[in-house]
Amino acid sequence: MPLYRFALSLSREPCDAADLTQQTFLLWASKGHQLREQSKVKTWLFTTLYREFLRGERKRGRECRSEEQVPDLQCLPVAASNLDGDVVVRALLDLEEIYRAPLSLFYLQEHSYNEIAEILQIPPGTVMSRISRGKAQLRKQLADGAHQSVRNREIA
Amino acid sequence: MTTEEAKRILAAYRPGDQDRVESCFAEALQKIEKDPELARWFAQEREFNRAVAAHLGSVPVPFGLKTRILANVAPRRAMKSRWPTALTAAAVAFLFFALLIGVWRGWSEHFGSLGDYEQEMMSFVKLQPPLEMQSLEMGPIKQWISERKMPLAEIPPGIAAVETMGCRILSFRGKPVTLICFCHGQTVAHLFMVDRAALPALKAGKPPVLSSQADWTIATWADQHYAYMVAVHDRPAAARKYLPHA
Repeated sequence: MPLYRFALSLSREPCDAADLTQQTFLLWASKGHQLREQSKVKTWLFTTLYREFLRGERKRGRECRSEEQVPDLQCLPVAASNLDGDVVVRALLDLEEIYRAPLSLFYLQEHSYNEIAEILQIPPGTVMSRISRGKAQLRKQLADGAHQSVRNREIA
Repeated sequence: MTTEEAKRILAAYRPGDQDRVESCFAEALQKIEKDPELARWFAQEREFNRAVAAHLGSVPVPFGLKTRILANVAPRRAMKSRWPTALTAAAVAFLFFALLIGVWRGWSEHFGSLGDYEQEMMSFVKLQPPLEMQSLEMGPIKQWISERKMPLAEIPPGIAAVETMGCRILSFRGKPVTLICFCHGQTVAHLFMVDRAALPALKAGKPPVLSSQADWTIATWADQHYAYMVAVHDRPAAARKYLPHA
């Protein structure tokens, strides 16, 4: 279920992600009939889920950080196919929210960069930049092997 | 278009070939044919993208989530479809009762079934999240939980004797759940505590009920204030020593 995986990438907690997904479908049940273009259902669901996530973050007093001027990182070649799946997913979840959201949508492959811009309410050019920078950060984290040491401290 | 510009654009080219027809990628894709260094970079990029997409796409969805969503969404749709015919007094009466049921359903959404609770907590454990607080002693863990005013009951003696690893706070239908993790040799055990109101189906004072999920043994019980769940990565016979009334 790509919607749940997007929710997980935002909330980083399976319980919260499940609640967020359910809440999105409940909103669809009550407001979905207002949507005139049926072809936009998928985008509507992802957009609504993202807004619900932001609303929850504001209620908890956690504002999403604005984009920092991150210098473009050298894209290190990382053979991701050899990496442990959990390590890759955890590195993705550890990215800052401004990179995590567009990058997760990109990797879920459900939406074009224009649709990602619509969902996240940012210009298409910003989506491209954030995907590019997000990937560089992801590669750096994987290359550093930082998550290997973190794993030792996780629940067995 | 410079090579760097082409890389920035091609970074947004999805791992599959869905974007081949997107006009904004056309120029950058053409440049690949003339620029061997860019072509090498793009090949590596696509390999990386495909691997990450496959890993993200294989993240498990909590067991029962689809059922839970369908159970909550379907009746509301059904009620909506009846609205156009509700013009008579009988329909008004029907809607009145439907509204009452809807309010009750809204109320009941705050509480989940025991099965949902077990599945969601276990799917969380299997995802191996980091602990918010780590300690080999129970004292600091209890203090950390108390300071946050999170659910904290008397730890069952069987599990209290085991070495702790740490704890973190989860949530279930908006209610905080305290998770304390233990390690006994090679055996890992997790204790979950939540306000009993979150699981009204669990009756207080009954002995723990055991069930199995893959290689895990799960036990649930409740007292007047809290609902408890212990998940032990071992057989039921070995798990009993961690439980009260065992």
